[in-house]
Amino acid sequence: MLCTPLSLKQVCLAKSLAIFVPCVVFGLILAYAAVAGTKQLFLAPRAGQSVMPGAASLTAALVAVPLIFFFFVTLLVALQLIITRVQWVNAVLVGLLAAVVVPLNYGLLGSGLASQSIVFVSLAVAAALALLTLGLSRLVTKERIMLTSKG
Amino acid sequence: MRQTTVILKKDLREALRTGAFYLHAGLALVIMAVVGVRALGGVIGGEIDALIEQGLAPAEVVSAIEPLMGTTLVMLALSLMLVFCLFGTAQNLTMEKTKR
Repeated sequence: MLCTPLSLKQVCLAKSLAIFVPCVVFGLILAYAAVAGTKQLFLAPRAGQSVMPGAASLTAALVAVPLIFFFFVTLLVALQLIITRVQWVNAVLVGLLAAVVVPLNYGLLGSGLASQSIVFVSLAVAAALALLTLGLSRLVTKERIMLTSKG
Repeated sequence: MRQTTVILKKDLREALRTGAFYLHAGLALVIMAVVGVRALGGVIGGEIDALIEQGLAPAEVVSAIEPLMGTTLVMLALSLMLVFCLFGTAQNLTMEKTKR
């Protein structure tokens, strides 16, 4: 990989995009399908009319969440390139997944946040991740990648 | 940029050929179904029933439910993206680094 006629930044960007693109495409399609399906099957008959998420939530889901993921994936790629035990990254991911899915399943996350605040919270998280990624990307060098690889 | 897309296309093509991708897609469908039925259908549906019992008009019920729906949509998108991210990181980089 390091022998390609590309700079290290381009390799990192390509690797990040290869993870980011399917994440966002499949994630958004399935999330909208779940919300639309449940709305039609369970919520609209009970409420008597169509229930739609607000504009702020749609903006958060379409813009802020993909932005979070772009920086998150870039951060993961940079981390995986410079640490020896790459499986730790996936262990952290599994923990994060559980931390999001379990409260979501019990409806805990939906109870306290207003639509506007979720956009601001998402953008703040994206900004924090961007800063972290920027800091970490300085540590990614060819020497460090070679020294932390197996074999 | 064109060279970058070569790596991107190669990784995407390889990812779609693996069985693990379809396993993760199955996991995402399970999360989608469980969260859909439990969080959206159960919790938000229960909330709608409670508001209707309080005598609220349908328009008021809808405006009260909107933030709940929105937050659930955002968190659902986040969790589904995490599932595919888990697969992507495991497939693209871990494999490449451990193979070396």
